[in-house]
Amino acid sequence: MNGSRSLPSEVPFASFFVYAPRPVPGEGDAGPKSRRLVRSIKNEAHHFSVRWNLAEFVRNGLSGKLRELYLGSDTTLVPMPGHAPLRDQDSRWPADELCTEFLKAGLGAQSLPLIERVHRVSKAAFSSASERPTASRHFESFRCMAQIGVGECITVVDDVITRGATMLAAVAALQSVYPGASVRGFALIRTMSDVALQSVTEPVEGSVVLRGDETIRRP
Amino acid sequence: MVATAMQLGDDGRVDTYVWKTPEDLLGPLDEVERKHAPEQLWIAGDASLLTHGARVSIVGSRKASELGLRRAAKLAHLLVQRGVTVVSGLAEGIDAAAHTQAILSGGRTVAVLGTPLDKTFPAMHRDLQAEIIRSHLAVSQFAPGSSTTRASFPMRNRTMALVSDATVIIEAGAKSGTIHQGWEALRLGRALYILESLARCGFEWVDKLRDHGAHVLSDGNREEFMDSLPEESRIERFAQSPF
Repeated sequence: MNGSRSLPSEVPFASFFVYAPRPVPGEGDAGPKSRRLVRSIKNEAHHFSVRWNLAEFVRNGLSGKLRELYLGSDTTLVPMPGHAPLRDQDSRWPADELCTEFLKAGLGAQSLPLIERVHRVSKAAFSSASERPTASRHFESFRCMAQIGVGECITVVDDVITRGATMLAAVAALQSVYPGASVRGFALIRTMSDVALQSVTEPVEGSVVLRGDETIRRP
Repeated sequence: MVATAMQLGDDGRVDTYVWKTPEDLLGPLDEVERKHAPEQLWIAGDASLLTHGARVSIVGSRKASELGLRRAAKLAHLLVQRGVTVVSGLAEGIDAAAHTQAILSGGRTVAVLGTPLDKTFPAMHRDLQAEIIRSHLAVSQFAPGSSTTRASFPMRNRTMALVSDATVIIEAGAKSGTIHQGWEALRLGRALYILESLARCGFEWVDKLRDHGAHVLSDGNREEFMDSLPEESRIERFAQSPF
């Protein structure tokens, strides 16, 4: 079980690509590219990553500082679980596939599925604003496994970050079980609504801040 | 475009048989997809329906209610308007309503058969199957001339989940074969939707599917559902650099 129910007020995260969920005037070809990127990651992360050397692209595109902080050679990667428990143990999901590909490209030291979803939560994309799961709800739906050999640097890896509620909860879950570790979040893609994207590649470091029940992602 | 892979003879029956591997048609499969994928797919009609564009399965009960049939037809029409190919299993009830409306709405449809291509089940859908072969696409994992057993239909449902980007269950009872498709869609990581009216029926299997990731599809989130569908097939996505 998770050790503590308290959530941190802020957690650090980094991301690599940006994604505009809906067309925006003046977006050029970056907007459609970003949507194709998300569909590909969501639907065929493994083959897509291999076909386009995605992990190597990320490795080469991240600054040395971000690479070392988030996906360094001593970092344990933890794939973010999906929004519902897995029924079949052989199932793969995008974040798990990404961790596997990152390791092959020399990013991270190991990948361990330390967080499990034990209760389903509504998928934010199909929920009204009032029904979207809060960070607390995500936290309660997680079970975090204690394991020897995890190390002092842990990064939760997700495919897409929007408001950051899931990320904040996952980082909190790991912090509660590994209090001595430095826990961060990395999302391959950052959602940018109502923005005319100029490029799909925009590595940034930022934070997810908790304000009451709401999370705010910066940037 | 992939050329039409099979032609009908003058008597309306298939007179040549062509098969391809699932990877020929769908692009590369991962190990999870390969687990239940058939070794080959016999195809009759326009194979480009599996290599181009998005596909959604509409499935449900053979003994469907009038309301269920109307709901299946409405969804098929809406998908056609979005350019999405409607996939179903040529069975009575929901399947036939989905195929028929897709055709009437001027869209495209794929029938994934539980029989070989040289047979029709139920026999009353012989004309529908012939029309699908003539202008759309019929697919079977069973070699022409092979026998059909009770196990054939759950196998067909798994294949239907494989060839579809998403599955929508319209109406189904406690022991419907549709449930197999729901679980397979979730196992494959495909989106699975259960119509709101069905979700309210209190079936235990519906709750279990929801607990493992199925979404409830309602009028309120229909646009989000439509927006979540891919615009192109896996093969098409693979062909374009994302960076």
